[in-house]
Amino acid sequence: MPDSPDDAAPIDRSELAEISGGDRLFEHQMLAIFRQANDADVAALRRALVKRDVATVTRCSHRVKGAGRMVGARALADICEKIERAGHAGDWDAVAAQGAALDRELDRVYACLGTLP
Amino acid sequence: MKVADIHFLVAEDHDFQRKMLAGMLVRLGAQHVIEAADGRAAFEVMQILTQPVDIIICDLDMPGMDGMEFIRLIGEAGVPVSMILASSHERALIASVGTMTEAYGINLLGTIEKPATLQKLETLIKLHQPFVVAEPRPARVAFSEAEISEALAAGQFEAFFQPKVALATANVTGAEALAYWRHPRHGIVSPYAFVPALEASGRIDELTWIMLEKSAAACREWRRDGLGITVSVNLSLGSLTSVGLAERITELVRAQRLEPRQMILEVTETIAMTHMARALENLARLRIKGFGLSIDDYGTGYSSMQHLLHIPFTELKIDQSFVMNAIENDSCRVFLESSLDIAKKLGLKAVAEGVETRAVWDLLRSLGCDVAQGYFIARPMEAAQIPDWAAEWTPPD
Repeated sequence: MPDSPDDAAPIDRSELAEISGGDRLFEHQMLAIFRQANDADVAALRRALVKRDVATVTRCSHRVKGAGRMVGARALADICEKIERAGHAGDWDAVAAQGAALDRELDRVYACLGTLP
Repeated sequence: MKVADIHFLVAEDHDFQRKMLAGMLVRLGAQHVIEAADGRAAFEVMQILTQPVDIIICDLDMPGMDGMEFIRLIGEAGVPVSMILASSHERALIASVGTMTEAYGINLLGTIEKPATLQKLETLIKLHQPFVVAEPRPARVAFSEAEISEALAAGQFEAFFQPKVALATANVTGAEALAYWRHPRHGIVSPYAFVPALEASGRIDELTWIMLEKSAAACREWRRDGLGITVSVNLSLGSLTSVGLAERITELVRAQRLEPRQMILEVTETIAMTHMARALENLARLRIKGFGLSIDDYGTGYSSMQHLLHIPFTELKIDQSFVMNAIENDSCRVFLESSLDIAKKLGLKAVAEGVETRAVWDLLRSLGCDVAQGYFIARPMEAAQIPDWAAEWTPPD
């Protein structure tokens, strides 16, 4: 496996443990609810990206960022922060530039959620 | 207060984050957690609860009613409650809403840059103190004209002195005179309580002259004891605009066989700007005579660089509110740093007031501030105590 930062775990278990206090059952519940809530936000974000609706993109990326931080999905949160900032600045090109990275990272996060105990 | 007994309210629009915060509280032992999806829902639920909420954990950015409006409603309603602000916005923004929360008289336990962790929550919750039903506050003492006249005549106003210390060497450099009223019935009354009354009755200048006299006498005593430090005295608006001020103070100082440079006169920005022309005349003359001139409470008025350049100040006293909060509040720290920078560029001695902790002392040292004053060094004391205190004062290692 190449050892690039991109290959860091999409969900940082140590960060998750800090938030949960190390309670595995609680983590499990957290991740289940995260998945549910995040699906809706991501769907709204994707729709807004297609419609080039900057306000909604900014709001949804802020939400995904907040939730992502909470489960240790650091890379996902960072990408969303870039989108949020670009949205605030009204820089659509910078928003669009993150689209591919967002899709890739979401795939990684969801794949990881599927494998987590 | 046990976590199980605390009533929590979580105001957060994001379902997942709200559920997580609530879940974390339960894990910390909470048994009473109410959730609300925005400020309006939170405020409404608070109206119908039989048990008052103790701690609110509040997000800032919520559709519907946002955190700021919610805080205003609570503040204006005077609800006794503790608040934890949690947001994933920039730290400066969260800190600013924190300041706003406190300005509304709400007990701010702290702010959390998301993500909230169990530990962060636990630390802040521990800071919560149950609200004691406030004793009916004794009506603010209104001092009558007659009482003030009597106090001035009977010499009930006394000067206490708070030491100033050089940060680099820890040498005692001076002391600021603070007026206290030894009131026959109320005991020692601090200036915050009586200065407005003296201002309102037009007698504040008399106090200024009493303080100038006492300070000059104290400084002479210290020098006789071999303690070569300066004394700082606050000038009132009336004194600063009275014709002949400089001559009168010079005489008063000479009468004690002191040099003008051994006295520093402190002027607030607001006073200096009120009657600019008269004040400038007096300040220029005082400076020519050799007095030190200090701009007091820097940061609380409307001073600009331009004003600083107009007035021949020798010292810049940074207001205590910025100094005390410099560790936790980035904006205060930035203001402190830029004040120190301005002082350095204008060749003014920088004095930090309100130094109450070791952490602030260390910070000021690292930032190159010249002089510190505050409870971490010493409380105000009687003039006669200053030499003994100075002999015993040892800087933090």
